[in-house]
Amino acid sequence: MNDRRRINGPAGATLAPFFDDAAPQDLDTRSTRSRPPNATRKLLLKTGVTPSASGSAYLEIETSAKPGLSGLKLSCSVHGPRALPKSAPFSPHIVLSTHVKYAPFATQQRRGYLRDSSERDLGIHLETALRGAIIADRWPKSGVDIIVSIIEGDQDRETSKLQGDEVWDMMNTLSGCITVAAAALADAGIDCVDTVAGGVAALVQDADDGSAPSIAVDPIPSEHKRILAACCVAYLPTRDEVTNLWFRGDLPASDLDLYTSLVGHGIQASKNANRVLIDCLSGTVG
Amino acid sequence: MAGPTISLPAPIFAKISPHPFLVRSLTRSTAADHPPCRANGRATQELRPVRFNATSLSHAHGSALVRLGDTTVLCGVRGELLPVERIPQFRPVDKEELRQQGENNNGNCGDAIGRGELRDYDLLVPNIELATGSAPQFLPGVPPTTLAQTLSTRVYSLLHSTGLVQAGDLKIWYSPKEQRRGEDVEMGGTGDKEDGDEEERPVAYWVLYIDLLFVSFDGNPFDVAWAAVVAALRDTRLPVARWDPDREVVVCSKTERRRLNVRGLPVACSAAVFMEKEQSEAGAGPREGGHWLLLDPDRLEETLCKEVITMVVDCSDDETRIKSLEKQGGTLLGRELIRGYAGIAERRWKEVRTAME
Amino acid sequence: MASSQHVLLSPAELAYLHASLSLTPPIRPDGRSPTQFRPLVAETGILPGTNGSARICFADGTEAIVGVKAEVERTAQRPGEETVFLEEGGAGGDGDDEEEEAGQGLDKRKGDASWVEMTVEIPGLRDDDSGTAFLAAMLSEALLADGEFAKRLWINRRFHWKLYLDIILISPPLSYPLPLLSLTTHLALLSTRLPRLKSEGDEDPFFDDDWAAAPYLFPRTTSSSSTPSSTTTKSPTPAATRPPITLLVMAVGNNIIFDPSKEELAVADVALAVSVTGLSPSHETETGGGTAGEKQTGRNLRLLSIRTIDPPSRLTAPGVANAANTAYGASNGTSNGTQKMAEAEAVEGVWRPPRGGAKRMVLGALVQKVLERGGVVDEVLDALEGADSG
Repeated sequence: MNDRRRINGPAGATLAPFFDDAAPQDLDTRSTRSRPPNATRKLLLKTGVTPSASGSAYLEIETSAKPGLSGLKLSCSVHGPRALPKSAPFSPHIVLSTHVKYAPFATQQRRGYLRDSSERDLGIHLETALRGAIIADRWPKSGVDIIVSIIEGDQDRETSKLQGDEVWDMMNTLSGCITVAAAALADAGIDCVDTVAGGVAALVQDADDGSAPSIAVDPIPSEHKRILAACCVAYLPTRDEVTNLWFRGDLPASDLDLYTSLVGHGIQASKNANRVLIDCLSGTVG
Repeated sequence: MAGPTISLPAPIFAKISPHPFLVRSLTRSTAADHPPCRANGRATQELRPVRFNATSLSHAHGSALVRLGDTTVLCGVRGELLPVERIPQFRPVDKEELRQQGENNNGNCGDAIGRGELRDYDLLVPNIELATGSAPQFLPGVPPTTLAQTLSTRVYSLLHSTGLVQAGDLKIWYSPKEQRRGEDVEMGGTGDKEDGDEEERPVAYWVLYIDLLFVSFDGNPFDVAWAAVVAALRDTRLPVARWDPDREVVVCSKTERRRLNVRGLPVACSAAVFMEKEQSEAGAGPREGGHWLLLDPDRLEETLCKEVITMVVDCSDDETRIKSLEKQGGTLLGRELIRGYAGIAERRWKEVRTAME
Repeated sequence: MASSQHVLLSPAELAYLHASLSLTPPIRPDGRSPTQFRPLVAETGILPGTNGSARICFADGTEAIVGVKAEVERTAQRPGEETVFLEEGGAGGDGDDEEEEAGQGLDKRKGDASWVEMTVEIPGLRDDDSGTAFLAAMLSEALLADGEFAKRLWINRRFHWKLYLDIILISPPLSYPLPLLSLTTHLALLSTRLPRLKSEGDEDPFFDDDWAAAPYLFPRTTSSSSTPSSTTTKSPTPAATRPPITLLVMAVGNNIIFDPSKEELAVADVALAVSVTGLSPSHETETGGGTAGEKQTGRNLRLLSIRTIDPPSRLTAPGVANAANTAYGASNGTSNGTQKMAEAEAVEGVWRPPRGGAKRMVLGALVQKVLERGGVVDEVLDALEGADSG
């Protein structure tokens, strides 16, 4: 089925370039993590990038030292609160609609213009995370649109796709989406109980020798041999509450402490992001 | 003045009655020594400064971020391979024919064939995404708006008509002899490389996906989008590709990259005609009241103007060449005005060139 | 999305329901205990044209059907692998993966998440609705979480099974359909059989057409542990793993309630979807952490995924306390002030939608309750196994 409203390019499917002359020794040199396991990458956050929107923000995660390794780049705009269309049913609360979309050039594989299921999934996660933070009953009969464009995904260009890597990328992306959306919401002046920020922690195994896995905060999937489990939390620091928790992996149920400390580390990462968020917002006001 | 006066802050005035607001600001000067200016503080012939940022998108082969006032566009160019066997009606260019035409016409005709290939095989794929919340009227979840479709098509046709990119640059050749001689890297050769080698044949083409993302929208989208396309193409470096006959795939070099050869520097310059009387009244009788030519219109001005002119000029070879001229709506822009407009476009070209370098 | 569809309860009813669910022990409208599931009717093998199928009908009238179809598909060869560049399977996107890991490990069977295609259909919702995408993502995430499931679909280096899971809710979505869909999927996968492989090595596969000889995708604990794909290699996966199940749990006050109905979900403080998988009790396998060999009753459970479900309670209309109600003599003029007051303090018996998130401890307690040995999950898994073999 062709999208007639866009320019589609050649009829035959095109192939992404396939690289060949990688030196064999390159294959095994996965970049290793240079940060301590409980340090997050540096965040850059800026509000007001889209003047015509009610609120907007831009977030960039520092690229690591290795060239070719891209950091996350997100831009978010918030439109509203505005009146719901006349046809919409009455709502005692503000109606939140979240959109997360990858730019076509954001990832290794070119993305289409129609939202795919992973983008929709991210949208729902984001909605859950924000809904807990917004004081929704202050705006009955109104709606707000939150649109996050992923300009660059958190993905390594050089290493080959390993199975499941994309899923862990999605967690990093989600945590960035939550933080940038919270900044844009604050920029739009929409009342929240607290500033929500996202954080990711993962249980990683770096060595093959069966050593005990360790917990790393803000993981880059390509820096670790294997990720056993990861979680992404959206956390409200002053209330000490979690608005969204997404865990994925494979953990023995008998070892609940592992799970608890994973969430704890995720919250730690989120607190770090929150500090940047607060700095950015108080800089705008002051 | 009798009667109660209502004083409104400017943004609200602009919102509830935009047309009188704009007329008022264009007719009334704020200070004695200042000529009247537009609502956004610019003179009628004043352009917003344009800024180019070299971005480093790592998944794109070339990218650019262009800002014109509050309009911000991000453009990413990405090459993908199209093997010739996937082209439904692939017709290899006859080399004899090519050479003959080359002799006759000093390469100009080969150029025409190249353009034909670009168009026939659809090697350039520009798309514009406005629905990123870049302005309140562009929200996602709906099919592309008419404006987005029009812009994409205009960029598409201008890309083909200006001949910015040559098909030769996008072609990947396979010449068995050269590779047998041990030269491992065979670049996508241009026409003159082939000297009677029968087996030499094109095996694939690069398809350039040119995706434009509006981060922020404040009028004059075409100028910005076009500038971003040109800047991103100039930034584009495609990996060097060769045909691997054993595996029958095109393989790219990881380290070697080749800059895309972009010919010329066409720059678009748009203006809108704003009339003192609103369209509905003026439509009936002869034109009354004044009009203004507003260069580089912003979002508010664009909604109030019906007549728009866009001129694309290229002065890179010391002579102003008009690459394209588009005018929509209205009847006010006459021969003299359009002629004079070329001067304005020339000025714009110089600004853009300095900003780009 | 499906969880937040409108609940037709007044603020007073919500407050009453919330209060009765917060009691110890909680009083549920349908008289269940907090850990009790709604009674259900289940059957398997209802669709003869599929490789596996199941139907579950909950007592509240919601009903789901799952069909599993398997097709042999040529594995997309990545250029650069040892074999020739055959074709790219239409998707045309695999080309940019560069190299396979140099050392092919002991386990040469590989799985890919794209070998499983899951579609969820909810009546009244478009199939590209975000809620449906969320449900499908949650169910397939649980299935693929350990990376072992896709390996079961490996035939040889050139071919694999492509599994299509079609999950259809055939009744209107009266309650949040997640537990129902998950249980039905579990049953359907349990009953799924793939034809027995007769060919060997990397040749084009051909199969035994005797359906009775077809092994189960998830081998029965009693039968021998031969999966269709393990004819040559010894299966490294514990043969007794079971398909995952996803449970919906919610917290109200200090209580944890399983399998909430729609009305109960409307007063939830927090709701979680937790996916777990259980190894059969007969197979005590190594589980990494601290279980070192001690035999206990119940299964070894493994936690696969957790997702927060946006509780519809946030979208309910708040009640108005008498003190703030103008009909009961509250001053009309300072409506702004009274509204502020109403926001500030909770009045007993007046419904207020929850605001903010959930405390960490509450989330931890919810997860712990699900993973309890010999707890609800065991009960449910036992019941489902019974339904499948019965």
